[in-house]
Amino acid sequence: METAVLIACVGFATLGVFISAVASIIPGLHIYNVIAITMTIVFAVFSFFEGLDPMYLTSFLIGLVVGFSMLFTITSQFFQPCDDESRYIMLPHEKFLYEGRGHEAVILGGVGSLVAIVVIGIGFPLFGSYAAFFRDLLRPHLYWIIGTVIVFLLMTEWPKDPGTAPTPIMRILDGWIPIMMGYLSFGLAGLLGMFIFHRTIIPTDSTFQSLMPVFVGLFAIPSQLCTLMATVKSPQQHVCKSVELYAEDVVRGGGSGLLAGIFAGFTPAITPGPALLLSGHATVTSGDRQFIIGGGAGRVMYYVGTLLFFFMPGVFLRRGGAAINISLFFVPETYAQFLGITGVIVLMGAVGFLMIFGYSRMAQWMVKKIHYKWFSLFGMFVMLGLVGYITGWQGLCILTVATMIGMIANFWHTRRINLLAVLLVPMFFNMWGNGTDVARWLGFL
Amino acid sequence: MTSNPKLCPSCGKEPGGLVVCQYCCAAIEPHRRITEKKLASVAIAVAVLGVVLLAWAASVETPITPINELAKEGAFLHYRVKGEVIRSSEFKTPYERSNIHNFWIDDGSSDKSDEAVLKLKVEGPVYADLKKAGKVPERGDIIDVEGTLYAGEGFRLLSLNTAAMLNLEKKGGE
Repeated sequence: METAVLIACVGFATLGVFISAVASIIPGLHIYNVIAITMTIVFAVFSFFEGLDPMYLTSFLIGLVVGFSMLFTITSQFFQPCDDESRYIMLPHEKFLYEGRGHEAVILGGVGSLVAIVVIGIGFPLFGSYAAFFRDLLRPHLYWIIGTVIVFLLMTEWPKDPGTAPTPIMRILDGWIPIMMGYLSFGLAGLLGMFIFHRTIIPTDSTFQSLMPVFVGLFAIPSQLCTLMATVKSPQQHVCKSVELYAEDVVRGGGSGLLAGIFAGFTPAITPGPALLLSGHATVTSGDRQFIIGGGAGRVMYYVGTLLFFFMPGVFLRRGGAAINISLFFVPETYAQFLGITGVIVLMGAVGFLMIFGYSRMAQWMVKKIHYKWFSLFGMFVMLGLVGYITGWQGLCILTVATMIGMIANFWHTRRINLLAVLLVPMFFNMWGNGTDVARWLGFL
Repeated sequence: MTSNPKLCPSCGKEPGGLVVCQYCCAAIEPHRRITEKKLASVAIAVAVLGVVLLAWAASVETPITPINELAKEGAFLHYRVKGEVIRSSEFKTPYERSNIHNFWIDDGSSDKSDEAVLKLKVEGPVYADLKKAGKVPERGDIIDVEGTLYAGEGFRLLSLNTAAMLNLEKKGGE
């Protein structure tokens, strides 16, 4: 590849990182939504981009994804504090926030992200060709792997009530109701997924974003509504200049996260959340630091690492919204392009990590100046506007239904992971070969 | 670590004279902690790795594969071949930009003509770009071309995806 093209690619990717930094300020806004806006603009002014090397726009989108995967959790951590009215489980980074160690949690997550970037930069060019072997090995077995994940998710639901009700019947109900509501949210989300996959009402010219209203409704809007209803105060933070960190944490947390990211990358419908839950059990990670580092590594490996599989000669695995959107205008071919994209990812990963220190301080400063509820309110209007603009009233209808299902998790203290049934159930049936029959039986066809 | 060395470097509260903070349980001793500056140094080292990868990308070239070695096992992979254009054809459609242009390349890698000859397929928009760049090959030209191999039982062809992947090495065409 020409040096001038590579330098321009770095420039476009840097622009992408900075735009993702701005977009990450809005809680709930996913980078695939930003990519959707970008693609809408690109299609509108296609004649301008037609003359450009497709590597430029590709690098820009890569920059967006790298920047987002490293930065987006920072603002949501500070802007959406955990409230026991709507949440039962306090995750380690939320615990750190309440101890005044939000900045430390951000840096630990960043360390995990950097581990993933290093593995991508060294491991993928040297051993990436084995990915084709694993892809071919797993392909015939994916349906039962997804099925096993579903069973695992359902089996690991547990009664969350402390059992303090006055009568045994009430204690039984307190124990079972959250579990049953978890199963209900799983079932409803699965049903919605079957509908979306087999008879979506999204206009055909917006079908490249047909899952957008579903995910915004299931995850983003309920989070924002719960933040608006929250009564907790944003805890006072201490900006540390050093973090407690051991090599064991980096290896075990990073290893668990990388495994989760790779598993999620190879298995359709599995996102980093459930993958991290599985890999955490498999690798027996322990402690908050390892959990947070694992989360950072898993996120980057899933969003960025699996995107790189799309550029890998002989693999060309297209996973995730970014790869799908890039494939609309660019067909990666050569090893030089793969190396160029890898270099851009690693360079932007380093830039993203360096930005974390200042970005976290900025988020803390913002939450001191503006009440955190305003960010969620603004984010909710942005998301609703975006869904309405891209997918029309049909998308808003789907979003409303998805929001109602998503709120079950918050109101009945069930895990939000059950909502991923929206992907798991249809993908399981489709890969098993019975998707159409089940959809017909449900009356969707 | 903090402005007041008596405070916990993690949460900023009074640690209570212990090696771990009594509030957040973080280790206080400096040797059990890593500073932001050290982490930033690691990130800079990672950035250097990125630059090395970019330099590698700038220098790497797709190796030339003899045409007789292209087989169905390599289908959908990227290959580079070099040879002489021995004939060409054009499949016309109602729209000029969707016409398909075919070029047969012989690299002399085998005595059997069907093994040493490969069809290069160029679709309308790419052909238009070649024309614009003055790179449309003619019979007798030596070309160096990279593309995606489509191969199965009894057929092999290389598809040119972008005009930049074709270079006219020697103009000897008619």
